[in-house]
Amino acid sequence: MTDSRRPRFLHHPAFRAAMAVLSVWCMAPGGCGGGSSGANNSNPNAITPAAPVADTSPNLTESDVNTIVLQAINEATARGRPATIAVVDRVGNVLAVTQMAGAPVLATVTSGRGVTTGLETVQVPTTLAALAKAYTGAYLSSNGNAFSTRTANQIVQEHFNPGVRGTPGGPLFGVQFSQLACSDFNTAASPVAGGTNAGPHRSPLGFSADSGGLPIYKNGVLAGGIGVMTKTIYGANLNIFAVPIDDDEVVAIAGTTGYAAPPAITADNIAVGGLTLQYIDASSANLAAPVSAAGTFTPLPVAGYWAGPAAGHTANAGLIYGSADGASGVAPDGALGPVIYPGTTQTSYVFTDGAGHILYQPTAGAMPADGNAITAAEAKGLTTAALNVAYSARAAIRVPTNSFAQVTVTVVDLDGNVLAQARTPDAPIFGADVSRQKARSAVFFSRPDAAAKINAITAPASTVTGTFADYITRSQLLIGSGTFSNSLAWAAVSIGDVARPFYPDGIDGNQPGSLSLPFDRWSVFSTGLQVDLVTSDIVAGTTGALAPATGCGNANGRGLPPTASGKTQLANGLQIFSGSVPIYRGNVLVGAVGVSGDGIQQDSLISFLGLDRFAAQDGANPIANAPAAIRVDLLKPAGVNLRYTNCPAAPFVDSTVQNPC
Amino acid sequence: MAAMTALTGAATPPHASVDIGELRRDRRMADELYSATTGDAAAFEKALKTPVLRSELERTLNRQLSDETLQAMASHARAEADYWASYRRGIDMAIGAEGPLIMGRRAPGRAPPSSEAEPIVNPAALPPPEPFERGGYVPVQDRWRILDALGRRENLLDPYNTNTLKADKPIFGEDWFVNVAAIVDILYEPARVPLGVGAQYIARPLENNTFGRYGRTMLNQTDILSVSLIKGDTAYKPPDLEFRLTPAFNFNHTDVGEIGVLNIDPAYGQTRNDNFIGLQEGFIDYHFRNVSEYYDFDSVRVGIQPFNADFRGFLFQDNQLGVRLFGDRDANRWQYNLAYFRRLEKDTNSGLNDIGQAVRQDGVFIANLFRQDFPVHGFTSQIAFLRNDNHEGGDFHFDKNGFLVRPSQIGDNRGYNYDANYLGFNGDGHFGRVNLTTSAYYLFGHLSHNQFGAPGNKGSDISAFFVAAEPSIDFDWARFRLSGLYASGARHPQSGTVGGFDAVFENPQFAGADSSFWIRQSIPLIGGGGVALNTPNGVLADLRSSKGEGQSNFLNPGIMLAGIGGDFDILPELRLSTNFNYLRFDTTAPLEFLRHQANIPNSIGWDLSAALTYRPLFTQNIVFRLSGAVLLPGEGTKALFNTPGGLGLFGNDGLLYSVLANVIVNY
Repeated sequence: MTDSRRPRFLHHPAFRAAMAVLSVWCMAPGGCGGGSSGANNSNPNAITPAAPVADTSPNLTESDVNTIVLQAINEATARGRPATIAVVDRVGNVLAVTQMAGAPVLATVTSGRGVTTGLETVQVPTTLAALAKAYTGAYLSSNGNAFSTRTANQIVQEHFNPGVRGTPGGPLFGVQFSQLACSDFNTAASPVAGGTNAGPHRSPLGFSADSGGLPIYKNGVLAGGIGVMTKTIYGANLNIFAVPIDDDEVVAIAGTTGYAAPPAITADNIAVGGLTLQYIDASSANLAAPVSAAGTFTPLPVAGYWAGPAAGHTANAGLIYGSADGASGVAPDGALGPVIYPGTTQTSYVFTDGAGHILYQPTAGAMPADGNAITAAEAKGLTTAALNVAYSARAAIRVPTNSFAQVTVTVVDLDGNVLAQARTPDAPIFGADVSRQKARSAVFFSRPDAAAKINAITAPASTVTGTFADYITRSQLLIGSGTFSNSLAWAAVSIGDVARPFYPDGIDGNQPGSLSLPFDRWSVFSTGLQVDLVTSDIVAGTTGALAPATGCGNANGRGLPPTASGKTQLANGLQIFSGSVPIYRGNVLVGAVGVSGDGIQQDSLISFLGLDRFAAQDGANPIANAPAAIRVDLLKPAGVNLRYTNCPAAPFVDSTVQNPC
Repeated sequence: MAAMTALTGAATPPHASVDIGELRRDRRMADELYSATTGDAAAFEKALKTPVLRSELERTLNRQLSDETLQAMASHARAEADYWASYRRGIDMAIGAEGPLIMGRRAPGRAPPSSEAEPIVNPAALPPPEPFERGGYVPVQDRWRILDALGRRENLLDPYNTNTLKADKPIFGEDWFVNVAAIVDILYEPARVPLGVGAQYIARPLENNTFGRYGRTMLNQTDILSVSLIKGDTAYKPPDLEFRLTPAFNFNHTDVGEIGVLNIDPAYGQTRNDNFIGLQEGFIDYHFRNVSEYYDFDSVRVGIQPFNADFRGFLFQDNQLGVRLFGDRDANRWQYNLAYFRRLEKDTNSGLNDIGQAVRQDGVFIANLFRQDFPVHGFTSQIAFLRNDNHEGGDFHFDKNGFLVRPSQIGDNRGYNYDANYLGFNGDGHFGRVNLTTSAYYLFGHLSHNQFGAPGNKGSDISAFFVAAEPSIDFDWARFRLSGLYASGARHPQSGTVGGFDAVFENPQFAGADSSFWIRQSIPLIGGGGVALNTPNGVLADLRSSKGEGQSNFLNPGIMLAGIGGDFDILPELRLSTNFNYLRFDTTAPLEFLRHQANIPNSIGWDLSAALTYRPLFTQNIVFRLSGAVLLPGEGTKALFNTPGGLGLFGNDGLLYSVLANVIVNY
């Protein structure tokens, strides 16, 4: 190998090592060659925000509604499956309900797993089942995402995806118990035949996981939802991997022909954590007959939810969502008076009573009464800050990708009184109620009297002992003896961590989360404390009863007590998935901020970071996130730390920052 | 009888270097001996006819002389006389007494002598001994018995000298050999790869984000024992029959920075110790015929066997269960393989074959043909066809750590079957001084279901390609390499034809191989489903759930690699290898879909690595390797992961690096 004619140093190991090192250095960008390498295509503007979907909402005319209903009826007839059909507008006004001759009148609520607790085994009118499906299609969707009851089914079960052992529960675990009939937020239907009023309206059974509910789009813009019920079982799909042709779904597809969601925004284009959501399994190819709007139908009023059409009509016209007059219950900020949130980077939307008045304008908290309560300016500033986080957050559930997140933000005080509530233009309707639920849930469980309040409930529970106290006993066993009485800060994610049928979530065979139930008592209709708090309210709602003055959870005096405001602290129900944090002034709990409408991580980001950002500008004694020393993520029940907030990857559309929280 | 005794002493012709006086003495002696033997011959011949002379001779020699004996003696004496005449002529040539016979000169009309000394031509004499028989001929049956006879002692721990365990001597019978190999491979591998925080539970307070404490440290020991029982002559031709069994024992220890990473149960924690015994080889090789005097052959091999579909392990390099017909022709200039494999399940944490599980519903058919010295001397070309039929669309397969790997948890999470056909050309060798390895594949096939969703949900066709080349050139103790690789990506993953290239089971020896961060480490696509950007020991960005247990994924971003590197033999026993690769995705469309994130740039970044290989014995018996790599993230990596770009090795926001410390002891 050696060549004696060459100088010896060429073969010296030290020279070789030096050459080797030199060559490595030369290969590095900007190494010995001096010039920068052309391959380094660093471009800080590579990620660009996309414009939000334009919001020029149409309304469904009576003719549209009749067409939709008749198209559904004709397909149901062709299939030999008489159906109950309901159509609602985007804010939940019922536009038509009909029940074909021979259609089942009652359905049994069941997951099919033999569970008998919660709402399981309850008999409900099929009109209410159809309505719940229609609300699900209308409320979960927006102009950037079309979700169906099949989508809802996929995101509320014990695993995501349902059937995949070991995976955590659905991302919107518990959302089915929102928009409740007892809610202090969702409105009751107009008592006048042919009347519509400001929403968002209540749903008799919350959201449905049973196929057959779809959103309705008119000219590509969300206008409402349809629900179809041909069966005697109101259930859920436990196996999402089979591709069953579901009559309810096919009839709904026929109904929405000409009013279908734009194909680009259906759930199956939207990957959440890499998993696309389901929209429909059937398609127009499964229709039994050509779509036809021929014929007539008989409208069927539904007590408490629809007074029926005006005389001589079969359906109502829907309201225009977000019109400036506020008739729909949602209006652009500034349309009905001075702009309330001038600091937001986009025009935000506020809630109205339909009569020209803005609801939930920033107000000072009533509690705590020690001078630490959130001020009106803070409620406004925090809402502004949170909305601005949303306007720069990358949406998880909207098309096109890199749209900003669309959500509702709610700020509550220590008692759960709403201090401010506002939304982005195209946020799905469901988040309005859910943001309020999340805020109230966080502040409720962060209070030191939460354990006592639950222990004091005398209504029956689905627990093995039949008592609500069982939830507290198990919580204190799992988490620690002072749980829910020791003033630790609980965020919505943390509550969800102990509210699933397995702990840790998704690990089959494990003990249940302490706010949940053993798996043989658990189902999407029996979620534990969440549903036990409102079971009697829901059952009352199925009769058409109006919401009690206390809101949800009072159980006719056997449940949560009303506060000074007359309402319970969970007046629209408990919520058990991510998207709120409690608010502190120093170490004093003063309220909570809840966010809902986009992905759960986005909801988490907007609440946590909104509060952080506002705290930085809130002066000397600001409201802020809980001090680290009292957050519940310090605790490690059964070997895992609970999570406090869960901010997403690549969170912003206008910056490349990662890990902002 | 002085003449007869002198015969043996004069066997060697005189040498020219002997001095002239000696030569003259020798010539005189030869003259005298010639006269004497001529006289003897005449006397013996005369005695045949003269009884008186015969009696005198019998008395002198003190024995009876038959006619035959006398005849032989006469012949012998005549031959001796001829010998001495020839000897005398040789001396004459050496000293120039006979001018025309001087070396190199030829006399007109006379044939040249065929050698310096004319052979003794005597048809009655025995043929002269062959040169190799000098010293005597003792027939022995085989070479090891010679060594036994010489008393050579065997040391079973010494693989280099006679060793029955290394098939140097039969273990029983005449031609049954056993060959035992043992390898101990210990690997320590600290690395910082991105890790996600569990969606709901965290390893420590205040983890509020998606990207957690990066890092993974592995300690891995694999002990391999290989035993072959071979029938045949091990030295001169391929064995006739071979049985081989290679079990491997693996122990692995892994530490990671987050929970829910090592096991789907977050309560499992951040440390895992696991072990497994796998069967890496278990086959019968039957050499059923030789087809030429060069031992060109046809063999069939059945069982778990190693196979590499090309030179560098780009497509399918694995130890799998199969049947393989192989052989060569034309003195090994042509080689062929016809093989069919049914893939075995792999143990999750060791990567070894798990024969305790049912065989996978996955078949690989291979036909390839090698041609040496084509198109130029020193370059081997191969054409190949490989078909991978996978029917695992109905599977619901969880790995040992509880994660669903079939179907992979991306898109609609539903199962799919596929058939993937690869047409390939591969080459390896050199063009003059330039070494070159090339590989090119065109992939076509069909997916029964597109997980990202395709029109009508009827699946998608696959049309993809792969090309790679690595030229290098040697300068004395240094070799410089260029590496280029391009695997197409699925630019329109939701369409009826998808273009992501994926291999069956890659193990690329390319662009630095496991020294490289990208090739060695698997980077989970955090927030994008249960897949990783790439597999461990894989160069493709193929978004698979698992290299060993997952299916191929043709809905992937594809990759482009351009690199330079060098190997430097600093000492004969010490080599430094360096590699610097620039990596980018072919398309980020699949990543944008799964992450629901637009405008993800293509650049993965710069992968800089160096490896030291130290072989203290100058052999492969003890090899130490130490390599280190860093990935300087490009804009695409930054858009996907939290990569602050710091250069610290120990902080939580520092460099993405990979270190391998490896010792291999081989018997």
